[in-house]
Amino acid sequence: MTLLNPILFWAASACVSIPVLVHLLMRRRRRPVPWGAMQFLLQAYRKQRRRMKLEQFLLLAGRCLLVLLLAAALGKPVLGAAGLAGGRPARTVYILIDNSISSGSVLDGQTDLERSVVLAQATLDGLDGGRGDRAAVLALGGPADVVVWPPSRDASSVREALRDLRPTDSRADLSGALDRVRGDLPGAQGTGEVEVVLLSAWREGSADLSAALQALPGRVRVRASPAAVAEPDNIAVAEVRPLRSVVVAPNSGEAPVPVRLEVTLKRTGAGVSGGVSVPLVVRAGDEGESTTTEAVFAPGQAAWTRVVEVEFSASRASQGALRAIASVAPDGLAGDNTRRVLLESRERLRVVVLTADRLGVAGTIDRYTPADWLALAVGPDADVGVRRRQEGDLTIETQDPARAGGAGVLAGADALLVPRPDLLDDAGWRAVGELLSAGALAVVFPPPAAQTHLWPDAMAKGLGVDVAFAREEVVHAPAAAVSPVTSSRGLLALVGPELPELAKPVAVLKSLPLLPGGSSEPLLQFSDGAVMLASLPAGGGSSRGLLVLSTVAMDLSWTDLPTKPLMVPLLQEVVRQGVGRAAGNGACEAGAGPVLGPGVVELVRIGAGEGPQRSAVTQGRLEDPIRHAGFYGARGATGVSTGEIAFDPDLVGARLAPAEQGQLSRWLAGLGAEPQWLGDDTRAPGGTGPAQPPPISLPLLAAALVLAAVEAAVARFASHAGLGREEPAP
Amino acid sequence: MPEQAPRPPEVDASLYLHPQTLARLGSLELRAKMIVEGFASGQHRSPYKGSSVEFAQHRPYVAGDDLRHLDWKVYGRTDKLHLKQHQQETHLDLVLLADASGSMMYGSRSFEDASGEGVKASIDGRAAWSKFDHATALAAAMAYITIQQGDRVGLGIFAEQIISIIRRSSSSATWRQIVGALATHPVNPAHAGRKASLVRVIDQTLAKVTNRCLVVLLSDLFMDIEEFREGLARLKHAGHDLIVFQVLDRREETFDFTDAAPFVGLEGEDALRVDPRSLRKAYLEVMAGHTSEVQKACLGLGFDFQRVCTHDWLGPPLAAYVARRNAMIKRGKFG
Repeated sequence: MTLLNPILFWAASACVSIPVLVHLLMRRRRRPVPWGAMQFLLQAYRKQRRRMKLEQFLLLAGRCLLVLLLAAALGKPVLGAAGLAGGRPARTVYILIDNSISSGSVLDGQTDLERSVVLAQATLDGLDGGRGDRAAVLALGGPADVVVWPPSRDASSVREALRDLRPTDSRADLSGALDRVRGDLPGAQGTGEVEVVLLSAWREGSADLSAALQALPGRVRVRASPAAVAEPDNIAVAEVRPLRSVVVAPNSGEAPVPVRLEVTLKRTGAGVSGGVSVPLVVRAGDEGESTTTEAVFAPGQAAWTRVVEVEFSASRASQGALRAIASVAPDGLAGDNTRRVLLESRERLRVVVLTADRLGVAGTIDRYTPADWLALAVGPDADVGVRRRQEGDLTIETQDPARAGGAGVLAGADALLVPRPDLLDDAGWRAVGELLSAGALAVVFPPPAAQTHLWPDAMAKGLGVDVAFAREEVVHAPAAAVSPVTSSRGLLALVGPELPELAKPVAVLKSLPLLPGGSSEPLLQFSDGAVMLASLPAGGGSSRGLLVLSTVAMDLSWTDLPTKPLMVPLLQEVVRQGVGRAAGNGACEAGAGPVLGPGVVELVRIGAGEGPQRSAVTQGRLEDPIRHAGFYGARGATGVSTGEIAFDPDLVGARLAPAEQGQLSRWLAGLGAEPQWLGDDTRAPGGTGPAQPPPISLPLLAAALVLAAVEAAVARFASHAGLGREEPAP
Repeated sequence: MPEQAPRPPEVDASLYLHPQTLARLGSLELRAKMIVEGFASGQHRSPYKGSSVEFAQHRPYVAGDDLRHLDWKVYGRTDKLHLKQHQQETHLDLVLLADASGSMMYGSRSFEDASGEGVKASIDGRAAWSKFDHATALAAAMAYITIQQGDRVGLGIFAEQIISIIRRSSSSATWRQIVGALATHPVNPAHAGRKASLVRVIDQTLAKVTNRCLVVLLSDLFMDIEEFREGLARLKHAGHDLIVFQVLDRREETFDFTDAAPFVGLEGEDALRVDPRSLRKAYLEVMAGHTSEVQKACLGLGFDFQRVCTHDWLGPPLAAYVARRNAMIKRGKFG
């Protein structure tokens, strides 16, 4: 049995204690009566004791039952599918309302979500709680969330929950909501009719018409709101990309630290055919300095990209991660007007080259080891062979691979260059793996003189990465040419335009092929498509740490790259961009699950905003999904920060082109029932129930009255209330 | 405001002898059921034949008779020995036994209403007219009438035993003593909570009384019926006559309580928390059964039984009683 007014029921049920309390209070307040003929009273009591106790129990039970009946009458219980009132069967309505990012689009002064709420309210008007009608509400803002669940007869609570709905920054999750409904359908269908009401503007971001819908089981009526009729003009901040993901800001006093960001705006809607100018504001942090740039769209221009420089204060730059926010003025969709980006900040980069100690000096370049070439590329002005030296904003030092597993040897390193991986033992690889998990970069090269390469096995085991090399190197005859892999997001993106020219004179004589498989991202490749340089995330799935693998040893017997102009910019970019990527400051779309390392136990919101302030992490998954954009800090078990994540609006979900009605109808028909479109009359067919059902259950009220009459009669009998008409005993 | 000095017992006695009561009883003569032995001559006929001025009868002489009573004239005419017997005028010895047990303390009538003089409380501050008050008023009235007739009156106040006693006398000083004892001897808290023990009281009374008396018992008779029968049997065996006045409060007769309340016994019984309406019928049955048994016990031994309600005036029950006694005497029942 369920209740339409459970609060009233429980409140009234608590009144059961009233008869008992009255009895107890009266016992306390009554003054004792001195009585002379006590022996006769006691004799009479002994004769009547059992009967009196039975009568008193019946009276108390009757009075309590009377209160309970009144409570139940107020609570309006519903028994069975037909309800107390009989008539048509009870109806269970699942309202799936779109509050994804696109539902915030404004047309004619009203958002799509507000229109959907009006339709939902009208749907509720057609329900009659007295007949057992129930309603559940699921919000589609991904991942789909239950708002009123399980289905409730308390229409007022449902209406209140609907009024509290706000658009998220995530895309619609219709399939997730439908899965939730499917799980509840068997029970609901056993109690009467079932109806699924889909309320959305059906814009491109809300409905992926290319993905078929799975049919709902059993008999289900599907009703849906029609698709929106127009697409509002909208400008979105499509991308904010730092030119360099790590900012090395030496302790320069009060001088601000400039950071360059590439910002891309995109506009949609009928207004694209005309020109428009909007101010673009880029702020250094939530409350930092801002730079305003006027973004001018020419007629027909849909995208606008510009590099914007924003200055962080020196104190802010020394605090670790830097947060930059780009935003445009409110327009047709507010959700996509802001985008965030995180940058890693360092005072100095510490680069460690793992190589065996040299015996003697380097001498001429034909005697340079791979480690010498790497150190020279990272710090071109430094002397070769010096164990520790400083070069601008870099500190370069060498460590013996055999001692890498020792405590504290690698601590504090931002980047590791490993030209002799064959010299690292298991402890050394574990130490490298721990360093990567802490957010460092490792660049591994094959050793030049190995006959059979067994070190990749130890590396894969120690670092926990899925990567494999061939056992023996391949000789390229003639020498293989090198070409860059074009990517706007790769480590080499900043020098991408110059790379083809720089790579032309490079010749590769030998390489250790990287076997297919894994999730590596190629950066350089040979003319035959084989990988020369690739990057992949490290740390066993953690968002922190980056591993860069080279298939060519930095030795003149393998390649002449160390002597070519490409060598210095290649190493500089790999190290500087790689350190920023490895720091773990990631970006994620709202509603999506970010990649979190095993050490992360919770995300904590940074600054004010909608969405959860804290979200615990269990086995890499967020317990409370984050559906709104904002900065979140990752925390370990001891509360230590393990990086930050910028949650940005889901631009796929923000596409505002409305679906074509016929196509939408066919798509929704995949649910197993031809959809009925909600129009002006949104009440369910047959929903002719009373507009204002009685606030109390009349049958139970009648039962309470009958019981009251019986109780009064029993009370009169039990208490011999007819005193006045009886004659005194002779 | 000066504190009012306690009034002497003589004055308080007037509370009991309300003018209305005395007006009705002043013209009546109290005639005893039995003619008891006495010292002073009076209006009461004695069952004992002896030296008196009024001839009663002759009877044959038997060995052992006092030769002084032989009627020599009859012997001279008939040559037979006959004794000459005379009807002897005697005094009535009245012994009043007033129950002062705990249950007699109960009263639902206000003192102001019962006294008829606007007195709102008793001397000891009680605002209710208790059964003891009513019993002592009745006893005082009987003592007054008896002394006015020149008969002797004695008084015993008892609870589980005799508490105080006043020897029989017909002097006016005795009247004052009786009134003083009744007025100053309300139910003492020291005796409250004790149940009357009639057998013990009767034994103590018989030890003090050697001649045959009229005993008047004023009590609510809330005692074991077997003990009551035993006490009456001992009085009967000793040759005394007895008039039993059962003094009850009206509420004890009707039990017309309506509100549930804890009832506390006045003789040490356990408190009983009960809805009185639910017990009324059973209570009245038990009460009626007990009264019936008491009445049967009295009548079975030839004693008189009269029930007196505290809400009634003293006059009507006394007048009805005396009138019935006179009628019985006139029928020669005791002649």
